[in-house]
Amino acid sequence: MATNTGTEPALGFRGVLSIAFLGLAIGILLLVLIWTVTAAADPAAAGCHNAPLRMTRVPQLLGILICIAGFVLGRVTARPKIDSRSQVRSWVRDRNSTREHARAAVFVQACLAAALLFIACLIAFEAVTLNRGVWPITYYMRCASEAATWQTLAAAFAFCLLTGRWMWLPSTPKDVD
Amino acid sequence: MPPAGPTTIAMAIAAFLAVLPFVVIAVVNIVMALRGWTPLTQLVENYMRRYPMFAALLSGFVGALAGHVFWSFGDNPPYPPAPLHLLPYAVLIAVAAGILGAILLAGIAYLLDLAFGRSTADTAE
Repeated sequence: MATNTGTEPALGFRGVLSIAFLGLAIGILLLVLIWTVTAAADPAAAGCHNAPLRMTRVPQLLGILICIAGFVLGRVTARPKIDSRSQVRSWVRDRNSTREHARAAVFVQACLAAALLFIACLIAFEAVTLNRGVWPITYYMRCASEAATWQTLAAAFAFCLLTGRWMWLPSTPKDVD
Repeated sequence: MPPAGPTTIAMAIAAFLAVLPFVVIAVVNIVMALRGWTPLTQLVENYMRRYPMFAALLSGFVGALAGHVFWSFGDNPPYPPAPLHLLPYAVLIAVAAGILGAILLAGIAYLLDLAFGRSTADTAE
């Protein structure tokens, strides 16, 4: 376990493992990002109809079932009940610093505000495009679903998994510190 | 399958927006791990535990979005592709709506405080 030495504390085994895993995840995600964008923008890539088809090569119900499966799997793999708050505190290096705690709280609020702003931008774009009679966001997603069905379903699964993982949580223990 | 065309650019944009949030989450996680902060997952879970209605609303939004895209009926008219300049226009609208919403909420909170907060404090005193 890491200790606080007064200067920059050393990373514990958990920290090194987390950073290694996250570095690997970032590498894979960046490769996926580059691959998807270049594959989609390739002139040889298959396009979609205008308007994009809603009936793709797989039944609509399968898409919904995949999303529900992602959501349920996210719930199943959600963090089990935390036995105590001290268990959470043991993961961070500066355990007793209220300043760090406040900074983290502000950070989460800022991330949440950014996420909400992102959603607001999407909704505003959808409204503006519908008002102007041009492709709304829905068409972009259906276009991807038509031309790259399984990849789109995989992305939808990932989003639903994250939603279930973060927002459908086990009940909170009441009698712990 | 139709040949390549402007719609492939649309797919590139959709693919970029689909993968980008996961990259951002991973980068934020690694920054937090390097600084020794509480893991992002734990912070988000704490927040969602504290505000379960908000979590339910966000989950409902994601579910409605999935249903809207993958399970839809009714009219499906063809449109021309959206011009790029609509994007900053939409961002401006969203920011303006956010500012107006914040002012409105602050006003409501002020009025509620006037109506209930101070009287409660007076009673307590």
